[in-house]
Amino acid sequence: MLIIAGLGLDGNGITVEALRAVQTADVVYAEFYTSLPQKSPGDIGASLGVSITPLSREEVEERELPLAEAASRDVAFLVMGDPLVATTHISLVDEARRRGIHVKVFHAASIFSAVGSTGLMLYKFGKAASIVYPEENYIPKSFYETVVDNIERGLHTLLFLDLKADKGIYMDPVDGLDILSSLDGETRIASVIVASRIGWDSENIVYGTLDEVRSLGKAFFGPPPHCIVVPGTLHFAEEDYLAHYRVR
Amino acid sequence: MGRKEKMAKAAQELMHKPLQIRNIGIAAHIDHGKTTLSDNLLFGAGLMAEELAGKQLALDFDEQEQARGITIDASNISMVHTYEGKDYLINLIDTPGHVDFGGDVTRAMRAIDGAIIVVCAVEGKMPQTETVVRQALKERVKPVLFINKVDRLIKELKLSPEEMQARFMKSISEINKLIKQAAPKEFKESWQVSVTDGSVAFGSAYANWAINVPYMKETGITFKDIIDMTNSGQVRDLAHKAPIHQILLDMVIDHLPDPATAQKYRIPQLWRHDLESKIGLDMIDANEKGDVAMVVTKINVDRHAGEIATGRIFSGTLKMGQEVWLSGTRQKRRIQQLGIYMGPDRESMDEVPAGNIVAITGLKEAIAGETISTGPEPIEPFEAIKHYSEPVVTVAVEPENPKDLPKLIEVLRQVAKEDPTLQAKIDEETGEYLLSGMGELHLEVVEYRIRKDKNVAIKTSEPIVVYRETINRQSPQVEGKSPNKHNKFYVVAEPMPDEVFAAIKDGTIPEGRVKGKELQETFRELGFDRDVAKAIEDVYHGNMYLNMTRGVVHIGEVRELVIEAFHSVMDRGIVAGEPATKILIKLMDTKLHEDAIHRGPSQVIPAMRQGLYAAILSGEPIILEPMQKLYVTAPQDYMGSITKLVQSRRGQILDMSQDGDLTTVVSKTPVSEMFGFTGDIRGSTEGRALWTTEQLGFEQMPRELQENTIRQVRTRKGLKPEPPKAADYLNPQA
Ligand SMILES: Nc1nc2c(ncn2[C@@H]2O[C@H](COP(=O)(O)OP(=O)(O)O)[C@@H](O)[C@H]2O)c(=O)[nH]1
Ligand SMILES: C[S@@+](CC[C@H](N)C(=O)[O-])C[C@H]1O[C@@H](n2cnc3c(N)ncnc32)[C@H](O)[C@@H]1O
Repeated sequence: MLIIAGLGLDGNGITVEALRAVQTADVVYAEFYTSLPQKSPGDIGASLGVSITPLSREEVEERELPLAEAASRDVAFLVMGDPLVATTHISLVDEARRRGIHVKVFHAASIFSAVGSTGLMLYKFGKAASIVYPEENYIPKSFYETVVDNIERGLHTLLFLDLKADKGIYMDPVDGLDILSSLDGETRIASVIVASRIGWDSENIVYGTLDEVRSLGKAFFGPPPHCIVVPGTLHFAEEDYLAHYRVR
Repeated sequence: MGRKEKMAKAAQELMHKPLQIRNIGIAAHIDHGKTTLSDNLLFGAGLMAEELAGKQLALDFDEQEQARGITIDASNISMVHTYEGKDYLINLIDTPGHVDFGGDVTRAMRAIDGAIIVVCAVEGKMPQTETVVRQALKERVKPVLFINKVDRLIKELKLSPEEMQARFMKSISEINKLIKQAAPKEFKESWQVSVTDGSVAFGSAYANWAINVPYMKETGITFKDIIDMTNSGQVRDLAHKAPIHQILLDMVIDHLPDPATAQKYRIPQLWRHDLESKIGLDMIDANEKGDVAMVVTKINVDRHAGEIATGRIFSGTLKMGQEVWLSGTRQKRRIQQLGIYMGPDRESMDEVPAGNIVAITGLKEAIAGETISTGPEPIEPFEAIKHYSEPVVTVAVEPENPKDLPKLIEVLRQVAKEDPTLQAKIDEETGEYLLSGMGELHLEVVEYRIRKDKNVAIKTSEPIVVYRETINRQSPQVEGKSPNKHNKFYVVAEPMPDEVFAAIKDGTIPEGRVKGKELQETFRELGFDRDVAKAIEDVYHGNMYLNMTRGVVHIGEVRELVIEAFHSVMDRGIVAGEPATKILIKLMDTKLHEDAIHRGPSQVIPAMRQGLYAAILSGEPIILEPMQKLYVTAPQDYMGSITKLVQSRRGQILDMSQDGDLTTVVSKTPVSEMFGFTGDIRGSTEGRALWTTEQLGFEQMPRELQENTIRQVRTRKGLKPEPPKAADYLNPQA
């Protein structure tokens, strides 16, 4: 059997029933390349009472290690947040089904819903996207088009920030805002929210114009994970709540 | 003031009068007398003593060339000649004739507007005559003809005046036929050479005379006079009555174009960019007041002056101390010195205007073929200079003393720069320094130079043949999937039609990204349907990438990654790791993940590569081997041993011809079988054979040899001997 369980926002947010399943598994894998936890994998393992083997992207995607033994034994695979949200792990589930392996998915809290902490209503979010650093031969701009499309329809945009765990790259919100600003020649973006470490002890949210927020500087925002929200048309309830986070 | 100083002064003034300039070269088969003729012209200009003309070989600067008796480096010499009371500045570029160094010839052609074709009266048009004339015509260089060694017709063959004329007519019609075949459409007729208008001359460079029909009419000298004077030892008189330098330079001035005239029709061929732009118009007009546009045709490394770049200025005026752009690196460099060569000496100039050929120092990174310009931004480069042949043989080079490694690296860089038909590179897997060239002889010459001129003791490996990989039939549509399984690329590989491949090789279709709509008509003419023609996005090393997808929203974002994958698979073929060629790659469709983070380089490149490998492996991949046309000439008695030797080397006899006692055997032979040929042919003909080769490109290797060769190449590269199969890359269909 393959058990896929979410670790929630900070890595301690596994559900009680998922915990029971994981504790009885023969082997416990995890990946921390789609998002990162507050504590080390070792500490997470200790608090769950299991020993965790972290896998690289290559081990999961190309070698499909979580599937290797799942036909004969119970294999658990832990993922930050909610495991099937903004990841490509559905491929793993698909391949397991193809091979006749039984799969059980345990959901957990996700940044996708926790972004509600900003005061914005989930009803009013449009398509989400990731801001990625340009690389040789790859200079994506589509995330900006997503933002503009959403704004035109009055919708908010949740923007994830680039993350390449194997290279130690976690995009800083200031870099993300700089990239947005460089694409925003016509200043379509009126205001932005940076939501840092949602669900962690050091959770922090700020709201202001793009330039105000960006000039707070990298030191202000602290360690990852962060996400950026570009609000669309605001409802008065959203506006009132956001006032708490207004940059002064 | 000495004669040379006077000339330098005159040259300086003439430089600003384009109508009184001629930029020319001499094109000839080896040994037909190019060097002897050049010396005669120098002598005529007072740059060499008379008794040395024909004997000293001043243009062959390289000692080694003298030892080997062949001319290797192209360099430029300027001289002043008076014609009908007016002074003219003649810039003569020395173009090498040996095919193994073909790249130099093409580049030299770029600098000149006209050429004297020299053919030996006894041998007539030879293979290399044809090669160089074709190269000249392709670069829109106008020809005149000089038939040399007429003294041999008289003394050795003892021909009558009528027989002599018949010989001339034969040579002339051979050359005219070639011009008709190879000249650009608009010049096929007007560039025909003719006895009556004086665009053909004949004579003896060795005996310092030449004559043409108009001059014969003017002076009353007849064929019979020429024969008599030659036979009666009065040939000096003939040389005074019809001095070769005067006859030939008069012919050059009369029949070859000045730079201003030539640039009008040459620029559209050489510079395929916006001709309506300011710089385009300035080049067409050879405007010396415009921004500078120049192409470097040759780099020499001089022990004292360092790297000297020779090139042709098409627009503007180059000045000492000026900053110029190198288009290749988009870097600025300062011109330290500029000047022209008068004989072996360099004369410095403060400035040199459009229409001239100039030698400059200070352009450290420039390579032959580089585009130089001034103005706010580097200009678009001149057409990539086309080589008629690609490197086919490689050796690994290492210093005898490991301490010399840094020196060797620098020397390899230099030799590759001086001779762009050479490639020097590091094999990333083995760390070896590899030098690739046109043949065993070519590499031997370079090795000799590294040891002798550059003073680095080196060891070299046995030469290795360079192969190509291609496919024999169209693959089915196959799928490449990204590691995260969320991106798919559907690929078809097809053999490229011969006409398309030929069009890439001759530069009709330039390599690189297809920009704008200019090429659409060419594609259509080559047989692509309108929709397919529009899909051609990239031409890479004789392969093409076509984006046949429709309505894929984010295709633009991944285009460069797809092309990167295409390049990497073409650089290093899947069968034996040799470069792929003559393959059309069609991306039929693609499915991409919604978010940019899940369709980045680490997903798209492996997916596309998988698709490419699967397609190529399903298209009957095969190995191509380089072929050479081999000409062996020897006394008839040896014909039997020559044919035997050629056949034992998988040679296919194409033609055998006879001229007097000499037989010429023409064959097509694989380069891999040519190693050690020098020794064997000497052995089987007691050293009496002369031989030359010509590159024929790559051809399919016989089936029975394919497998073994693939295994050998793979083993040498440290790959497992068995090449992969299509099944290794095909996704199981759901
Ligand atoms: N008999 C005769 N020999 C010539 C004539 N011109 C050149 N040669 C000889 O032909 C050989 C090759 O000449 P060269 O100028 O080196 O030819 P290149 O290889 O074309 O530069 C030399 O031995 C010359 O002396 C000529 O007009 N008559
Ligand atoms: C690819 S998504 C993975 C989402 C995860 N599976 C989930 O359901 O929460 C990871 C990105 O979401 C954002 N993110 C994840 N957790 C976050 C948190 N606790 N606070 C702020 N942003 C977070 C970061 O931008 C991070 O790069």
